[in-house]
Amino acid sequence: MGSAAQRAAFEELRERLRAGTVPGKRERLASAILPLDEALGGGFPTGTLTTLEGPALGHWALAARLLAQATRRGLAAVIDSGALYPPDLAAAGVVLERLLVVSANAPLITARAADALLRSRTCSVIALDAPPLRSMLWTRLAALAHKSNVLLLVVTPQPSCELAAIAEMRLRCEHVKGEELHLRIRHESVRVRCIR
Amino acid sequence: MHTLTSLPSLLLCVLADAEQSASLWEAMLDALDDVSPLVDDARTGLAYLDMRGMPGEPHEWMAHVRTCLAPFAAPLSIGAAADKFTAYAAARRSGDTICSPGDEARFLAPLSIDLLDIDERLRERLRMLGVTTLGDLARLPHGPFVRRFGVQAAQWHAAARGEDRTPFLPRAQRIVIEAASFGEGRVEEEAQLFFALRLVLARLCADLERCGRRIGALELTLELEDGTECRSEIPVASPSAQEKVLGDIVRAKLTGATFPCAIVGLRVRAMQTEEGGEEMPIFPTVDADPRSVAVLLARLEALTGETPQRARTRAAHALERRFWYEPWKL
Repeated sequence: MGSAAQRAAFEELRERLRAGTVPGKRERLASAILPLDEALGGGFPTGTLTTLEGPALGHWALAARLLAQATRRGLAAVIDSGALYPPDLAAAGVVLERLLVVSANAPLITARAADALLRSRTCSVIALDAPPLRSMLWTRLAALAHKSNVLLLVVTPQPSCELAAIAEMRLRCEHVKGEELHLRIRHESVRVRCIR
Repeated sequence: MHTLTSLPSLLLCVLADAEQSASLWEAMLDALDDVSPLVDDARTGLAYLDMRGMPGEPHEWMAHVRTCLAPFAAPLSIGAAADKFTAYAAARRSGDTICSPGDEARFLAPLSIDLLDIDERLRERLRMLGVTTLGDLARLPHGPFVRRFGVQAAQWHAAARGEDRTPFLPRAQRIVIEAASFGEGRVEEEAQLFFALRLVLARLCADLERCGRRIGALELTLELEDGTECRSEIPVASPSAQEKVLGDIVRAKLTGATFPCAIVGLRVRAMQTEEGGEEMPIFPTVDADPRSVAVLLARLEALTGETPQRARTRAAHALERRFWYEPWKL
């Protein structure tokens, strides 16, 4: 096989990895933000550990959109470290009656609560602020998310190396001016860049 | 020729002189079960006991009532008679008063009409007519009296003559469903405890199924080797009688719990029982299986020490007052 053919094969493989799809099986959860859903091929894939990163304030706004979609048809959960503001969730369309709020103020308790929620398979989306955990725990949570077909959303300004390595999809929210592609989240122009 | 005679029925009226809370009164009614199985809870602070067929004499029954209610330290008045109104009138007199069957009219005659449940305005009208005692009222002609004062006057007239026919309505007996295991060895490991628990829960759920009931909570009592007891009430998110669901919930509660010494006894009691079997909604409002949610809530409570919560919002000026949390329920 010539080098041109090799390059073409590698390029095709890279595109497939970038798309991040398992042929034919993955469901998608739409965020109701059209450009974002189009860029992601229909929405956020379920059964994945997805991170919302970056210094911008759009993380929880985006998570609230996904929680709103999830609570429309079933239960969702948030593991709260004390920063949750329910009126904003309600304004984003989250059905609060179907949202479990689990208080956890220590990393290990957060991990165990996430573990219990994933194993129960009762919630379609689980959102949490990223605690500092070892890669073993992140691997376990990612595997459980995949097995339970649950979207595990981890919100963090800057992910740890372990989390960055384990996450199947990473979205970075940044404040940008004058960009071609911009999305309005909470009345601010932000750019959502899909890293993986 | 044989003559059928019925045993004379005697009612005890127990009147608690001081204000009682509802929960305290319930406890007092439960204590009165020891005197007679038929207890009519007329209102908080007033109960009637049907002593038909009970051995002993009225003064012995009254002493027994005082003994049973002594722990509550409530001032009591007790009366005995063949009908409810006369027993009530006897209780309103000082001392333990007994009115013999057949003597009701003579017993009631000198008593004031204030004993009857009559509107103040009507009572004043009767006084103006010279009717101040039950004897005066009993002597009034029945027909004109009822026509003048209405249908309820017939009941007053009958009560004043000692012929009160108000029915005796016994309160429903509480069913206590529990299962226990004692004296079958010591338990020092979690696996042994869960095994014993499974057996006890199986018996409890079989009893619930027979009664056609389900429960909203479990009371779990563990007796330790040093004689102490650990008791806890475990709520069930969605009332159930399924052994697996209740077992998972109790296991979630006990996982990781430690005790100072070995466990030698185990009791599980059904609480918040209600009629009905397993709830199966035809059109479920949420996708999640209620049983899985119930087990999840128990696990999360065991892990975090707090019940998972549901947020609520309201209009307010201050940001922090625009929301609050309440325990999450299905």
